[in-house]
Amino acid sequence: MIDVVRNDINVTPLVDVMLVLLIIFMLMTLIMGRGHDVQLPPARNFSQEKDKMQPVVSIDVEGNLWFEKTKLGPVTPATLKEMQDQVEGMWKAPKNPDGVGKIYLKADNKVEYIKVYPVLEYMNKTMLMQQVDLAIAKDSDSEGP
Amino acid sequence: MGMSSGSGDKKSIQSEINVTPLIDVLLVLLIIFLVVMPIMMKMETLEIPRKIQENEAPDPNSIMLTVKVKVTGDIVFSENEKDTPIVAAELVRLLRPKLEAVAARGADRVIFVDFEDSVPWANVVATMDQIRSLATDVNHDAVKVALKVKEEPKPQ
Repeated sequence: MIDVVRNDINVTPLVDVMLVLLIIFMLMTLIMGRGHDVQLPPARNFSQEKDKMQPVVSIDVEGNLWFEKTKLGPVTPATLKEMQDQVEGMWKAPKNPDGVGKIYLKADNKVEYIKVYPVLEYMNKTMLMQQVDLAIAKDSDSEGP
Repeated sequence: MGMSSGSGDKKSIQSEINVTPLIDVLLVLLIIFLVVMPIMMKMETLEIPRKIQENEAPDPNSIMLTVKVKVTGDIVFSENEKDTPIVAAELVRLLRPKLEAVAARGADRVIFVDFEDSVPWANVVATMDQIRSLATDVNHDAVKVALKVKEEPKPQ
């Protein structure tokens, strides 16, 4: 019974590597933002909430409308309708019931107000929303107001 | 045989603690916390109030405070449709007593905002941010910023 040959594979390093990979991928998904990637305007007096899995609508610097990661094209009645259908579809089958009735709107820093206003107006008049959450980036103190 | 454990064994005694199960448990805990940790979304909430219907009386206590930002960066402040042009830097100082007056009357602290067409989105949010700096609560939601929804061009 002394000096038995261990002939099973040592899986401990394998498991270690797998766990580290798992953690790396989880961190990556945490860091990756939702919706289309736009340059968000800086702000200081923001509120912070956990992700309620509400629909994310983005407007890029050229004024294109995005739903989550899908490009819908320039803001027109047709793309707004498409956006409404997608958003309402997401509200009907919510991943988190708290996100129903909410939209997280990401508009680019440099996009003109006239490109965003029709979207806000559409949400107000056609989708009968009372408020919309505007995405911002945390302002670093070096930048002036 | 005999004593199952003891200092008299022939085999070399392992005096270190076996840390493998400890590390396993810690890693699993780490993963659990990572999953539970919610993704925080940073936002500024813009109210988009519906238009008051004709058969509804507006709240007599409310004062309509509107801030209109021009492309040049100039600001026109209006209280119950009376316009006063102001310097952008004065905005917060001017709004503070107005909001206190509104709160004293028991109405909601709401500031309406309006922007010229070519104002970049960064300025829109910067103006909202200035107004929200007047709210002293943690989430800066005590002072509400509301979008002035433009009237339809057609009559009524």
